[in-house]
Amino acid sequence: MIEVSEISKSFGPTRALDAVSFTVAEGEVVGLLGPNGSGKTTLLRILTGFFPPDAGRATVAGVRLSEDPFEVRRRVGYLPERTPLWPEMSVERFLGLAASIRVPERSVRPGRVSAVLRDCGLSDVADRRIGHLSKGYRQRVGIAQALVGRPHVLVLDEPTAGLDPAQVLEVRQLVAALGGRTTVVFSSHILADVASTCDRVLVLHRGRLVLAERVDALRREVVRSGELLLRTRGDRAALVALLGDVPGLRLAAVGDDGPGGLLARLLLADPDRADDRALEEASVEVARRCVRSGWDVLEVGPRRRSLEDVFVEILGGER
Amino acid sequence: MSRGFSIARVGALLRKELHALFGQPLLWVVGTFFLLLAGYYFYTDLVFFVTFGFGENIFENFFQLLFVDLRLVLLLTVPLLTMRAFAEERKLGTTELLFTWPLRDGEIVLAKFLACAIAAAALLAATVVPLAWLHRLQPFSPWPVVSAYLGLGLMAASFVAIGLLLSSLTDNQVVAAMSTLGVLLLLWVLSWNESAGESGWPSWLPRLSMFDHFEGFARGVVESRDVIYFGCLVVFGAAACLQVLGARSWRGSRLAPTLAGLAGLLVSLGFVGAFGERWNARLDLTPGRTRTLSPHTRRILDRLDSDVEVVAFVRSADPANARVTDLVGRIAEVSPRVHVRTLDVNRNPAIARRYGVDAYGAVVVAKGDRRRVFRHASEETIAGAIQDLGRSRPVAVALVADGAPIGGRPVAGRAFGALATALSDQGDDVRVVAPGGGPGDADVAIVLGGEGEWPIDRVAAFEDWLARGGRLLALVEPGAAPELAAWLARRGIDPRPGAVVDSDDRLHGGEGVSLRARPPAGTTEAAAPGEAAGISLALAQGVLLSLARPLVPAGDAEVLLASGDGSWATADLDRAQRGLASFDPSVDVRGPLPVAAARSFPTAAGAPGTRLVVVGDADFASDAFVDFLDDRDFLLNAVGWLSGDDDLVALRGRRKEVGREQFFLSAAQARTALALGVGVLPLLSAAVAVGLALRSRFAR
Repeated sequence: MIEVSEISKSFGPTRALDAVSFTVAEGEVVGLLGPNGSGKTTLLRILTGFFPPDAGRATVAGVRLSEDPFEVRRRVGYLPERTPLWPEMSVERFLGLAASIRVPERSVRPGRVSAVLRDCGLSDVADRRIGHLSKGYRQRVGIAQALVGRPHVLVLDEPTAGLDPAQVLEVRQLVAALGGRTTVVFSSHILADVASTCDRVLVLHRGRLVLAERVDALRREVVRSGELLLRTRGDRAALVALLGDVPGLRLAAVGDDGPGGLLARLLLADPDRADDRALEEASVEVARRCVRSGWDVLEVGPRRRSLEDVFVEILGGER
Repeated sequence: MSRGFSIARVGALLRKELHALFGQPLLWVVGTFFLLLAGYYFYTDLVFFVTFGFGENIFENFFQLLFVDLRLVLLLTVPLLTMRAFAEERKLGTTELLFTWPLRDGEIVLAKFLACAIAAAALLAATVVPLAWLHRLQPFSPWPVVSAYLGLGLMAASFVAIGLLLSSLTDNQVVAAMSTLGVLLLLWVLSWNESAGESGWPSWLPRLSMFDHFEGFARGVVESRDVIYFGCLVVFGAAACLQVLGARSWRGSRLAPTLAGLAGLLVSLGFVGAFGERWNARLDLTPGRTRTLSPHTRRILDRLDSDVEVVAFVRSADPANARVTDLVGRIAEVSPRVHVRTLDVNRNPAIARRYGVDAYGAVVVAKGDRRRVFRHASEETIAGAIQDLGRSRPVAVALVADGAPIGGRPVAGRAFGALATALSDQGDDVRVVAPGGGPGDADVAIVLGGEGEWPIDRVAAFEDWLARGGRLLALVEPGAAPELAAWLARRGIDPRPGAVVDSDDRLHGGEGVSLRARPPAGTTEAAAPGEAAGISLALAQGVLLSLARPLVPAGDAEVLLASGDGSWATADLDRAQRGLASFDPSVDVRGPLPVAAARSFPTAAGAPGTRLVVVGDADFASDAFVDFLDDRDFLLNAVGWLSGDDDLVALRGRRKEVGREQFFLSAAQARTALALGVGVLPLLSAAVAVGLALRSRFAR
């Protein structure tokens, strides 16, 4: 549905995008991740026909961008960053305007407007002025205008920015519900947004695509550190003696964990074998040894990194 | 969906823009001040026009001033209408919506242009209301006004185009408004440098001035080059705006092609403008000067029973002489008895000397060996000369002024030089009676005020003269001698003491105690020959009198003029003179009241019939008043009727040209003009603004 090949864009001396290439399949929900200033918005603006790239080719919804940006705009629904809307218009009037521009058949427009009002949970505020709406409702109005033309591709730029946790959840559910029917590309700098809704994630950093990965593959990264944690009570020297010779494990550090408590970090000797299964086996072995020696085991298992840690690690590797 | 330029999408955007403009207080606040300024200019220009322009030629002396002022108001207003167009979208970020919706840039620009143009047109349309009211007071040809509004509309459109361009360059509305104002002022200032060539400025620079291109429209002349100029400005503004939008971001590398595109656009529009200057077409919408002669002149020419020679001394190179040639040509067309020649003074010095002519443009009217020479010939003077030369002898008119100056400038009080000149121009033999003197052998005597000494023997001399067939026009002031008033009362027209006051229908900005008198209701049918009613019937606007005495005419006398419905007669002359009189129902008499009347006396055996016209005021014939409204025509008609030219009266006055005749504004009408201009319209606009602001505050 989207094919991007070697796209570059500069603003003066700043290289906003540097030879970015990727594809998005029909019905896929793709998250675009990256820190602020990484080129996410620039990429989305190019995909929505706001401005052309300096170099490279892009095909969106079957249309070459350079050949017919107008047709691309027709097939793409777009929620710009910060959700710009006309505050003096009522929700219904605004969606009516969007429909009159996006929907060619005059007769179906009222139906489309009431459909997006319902789908986006806006029916109660249809006659309110946009300027008087809460941030969450405004975000829904922005998504509703992108949906009213039944686009092939929906592009959302930071749809959850500035929302409270409940609203973030609502937007995620809305996006997730679109998956399968509509191809969705949305950007965020919050990993959780992407993890909960996307099939795949693209990570941009300093204008370059540094990662294009399925989300379930990314989840494996979470445990790939090959590290075990043990929390117990007892004597430090005895613990070192107990766990110093576990096959395939190396005791990296032992520290205090509260009054009388100990926290031990153990690493797999062979990091290339660090998968869930190897860590589970190692955990069982450590627990068995402790119990056999009469130690109290408070917690034992693989150390799980947050997605954020993984994210920062990926970006850190790029620095 | 239309892939090309779609009017439907423009319509959708236009509705959004109009809703944003008309649904927000900004336009109405701007409109309030626009209408306040426009109304202020309407009122002050109107008052200036009737006070200092004597209400003559409403096109040159009022409309041109007003439209030039409106142009300034428009210049101050339009930047406030256009400032938000793109700057606000940029600020809100909604440009990103517009640019990523399936819209063409041209559709966006057109919709915004149309919305602002419609808003400006709505403001201009509101200024038509006072003009429509003015037209109801006294009709004028609408075409010069249409031309001016066409010019204002084109100028507003070019203001809007420039405003949109500058609004597209910034996300700050104040910057957009101020820069638009600056550019518009610059385009104005260009024309101030009249001596462009000398001071090193390029000579074509003033031609770029927007305001020189408006002058023609304000005069009622539509020129193609002006239309092309404003069209070029609109095209430039819109096309440059498109270029700016096409670049999307100035940070990009699109700056160079954008600047190149703008430069190319400027050059091509320069060529179009130059072509427009070269091949110019004019459409003159000013009302044509009367191309036919007045009924009065035609009647004089119809009655000619012998040949008259009219010689115009002109110089073919002098454009001013075209008027004279045209005039004598029209006279020759009407009567075969008039033989017209046009001669060049330089080529025919001998003929010129024989006629006593030494200047270009002079006209000689000759019959046999009698002739009259006019340096500044008009239709009236030539017609008067032809009438005079056709008579066996001129009508002798005695002016009984009792010391009031006839010619020259009055030191104090009344002077009657203009009346004497008008009578001379129509061929009468005007004599001035010494103070206290009698009518002598005059055909017509005019008593100018009657405030001198009128002892019994002087009254007797006039009575005797009247009985022998003398004809009297008595203009009787409130302060006239009681003996004179008593004699006129015995003759059937009684000038009562006191004065008629009309606080509403007095001249605004002029004489404090003036009032307008018109023929009494019910006498609008054409008068039969001999009836005095013809004197006032054809008058278009009525006669402007100063403080006038009410008359009580005898049953067979004809009322010529009566005061208005709102008038009354007061006995308190002192308060009336100071403009302080108020109606007292116990002693004052409600109008309308007769202020001019005429009476014919049956022919006594062997003596010619006698005619008498009495007017309760003499000021209206003085130099200060005689040019106002129909005062002069009324006086000349009265003299004509008295001297027996019955078939000529009732024709004067119809020569007046619509819009060029004198404009009279009563005190009440001036109050209406003020209320309409600076009151009603701005208040309406302000009320809408407040309503919208409240709605926005309290709406959900």
